[in-house]
Amino acid sequence: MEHFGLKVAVKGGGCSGLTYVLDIVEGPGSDDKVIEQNGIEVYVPKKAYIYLAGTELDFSDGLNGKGFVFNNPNASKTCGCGDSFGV
Amino acid sequence: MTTTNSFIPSPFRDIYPEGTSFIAIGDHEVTEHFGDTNSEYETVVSGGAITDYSHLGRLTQVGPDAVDLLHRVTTANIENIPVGGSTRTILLSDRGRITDVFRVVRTAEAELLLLGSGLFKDELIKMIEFYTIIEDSTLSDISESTLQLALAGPEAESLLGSIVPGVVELSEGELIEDDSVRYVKATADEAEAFHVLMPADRAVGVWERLIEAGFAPVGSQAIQRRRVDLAIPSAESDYSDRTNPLEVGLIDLVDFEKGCYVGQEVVARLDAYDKVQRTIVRVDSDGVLVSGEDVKLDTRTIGTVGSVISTQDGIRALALIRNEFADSGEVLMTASGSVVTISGNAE
Repeated sequence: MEHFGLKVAVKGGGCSGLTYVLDIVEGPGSDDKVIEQNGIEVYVPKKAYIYLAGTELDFSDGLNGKGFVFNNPNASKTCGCGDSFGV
Repeated sequence: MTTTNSFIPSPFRDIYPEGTSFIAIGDHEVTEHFGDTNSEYETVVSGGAITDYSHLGRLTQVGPDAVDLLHRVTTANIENIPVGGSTRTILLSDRGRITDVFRVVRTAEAELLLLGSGLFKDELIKMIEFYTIIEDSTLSDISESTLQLALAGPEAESLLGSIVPGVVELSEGELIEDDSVRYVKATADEAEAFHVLMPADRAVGVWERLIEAGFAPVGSQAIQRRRVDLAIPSAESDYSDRTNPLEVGLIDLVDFEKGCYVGQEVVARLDAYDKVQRTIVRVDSDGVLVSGEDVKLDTRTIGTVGSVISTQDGIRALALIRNEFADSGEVLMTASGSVVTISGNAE
């Protein structure tokens, strides 16, 4: 991949109704909002943007596991494992 | 004929015999009976019955993400349905309450047909559309352009097989299409034997062909009586967005192995910690029972009356009763003073 970025989106499913999507893709989709930070392009589909506006994408390396963590101010609830959320 | 006002008329009204009685379910006119509920019930139990299910909701979900989407949001394993197969599933709220119970038929690799209750169709559409965010999947309401019949009774398969031979080879949930009419073999947890779907303009012709094959028309009362016999809950009276699937006997529609779906955490907790508080039971009474009425023990409310039917032996109903009072033989009383005796449960 010559031109890649991080796709961050939301899809239906999971215990609380909505789950995060995180994927490395080759370039943005036609409907994606492109955000560039620290040399990395983040692609967010416009339909998912309303659920993600203001979200901070962090990386956790603690005792409970290693991985990306979404700190989403739009989420009114999350499931026990934190993989899904409701608004 | 007994008529209903301001409702979508039965598509078979013009060919029904004199004496046909109608009721309203949702905004549809539905056949109540054809004059003799007891004999119609006997047909459902021991013969081959045909009834109009056009008031139920029919949707299609089409697109490369259709299967994945419904798999992620409903209780059953949708990914495992082969083309030509089907399964019943439930869309729950994130609190584990029922939005609708429906059958998903996989009509092609990326095409699903959803056969729902009808009463909760608008909410089902609203929630599926809410969950469709980045998915390439389109939901369409085909309830007006199609009609639906149900065939019931132990002779249904042989009668239908006389005009559509392929149906005798079907396993539960499988679909066969014949001359633009789809026949889906029901599962053992339903009161019906086959669901029949067709374009609306074919309905009368299909109905007459099935009558010629030997099916006898029955109304909703006869089917409902059979459903109550089998303790099968209905959208009209027994479940809603205030009930969870485990308390109304729909645990078999929940796949505990598939992983997450909307409401999964609540349902898994209810099951794992045995936290289900109520259970659906059959009750008999010599008095008057009204759907929605409370069931009492002294002054304490311990349940609710659901589907109510009338038999030669009295009134029979389904009721949602707190577990500690749901044993067979338990004698309880409704809020209006009718004595009810628990005569069986969903098992």
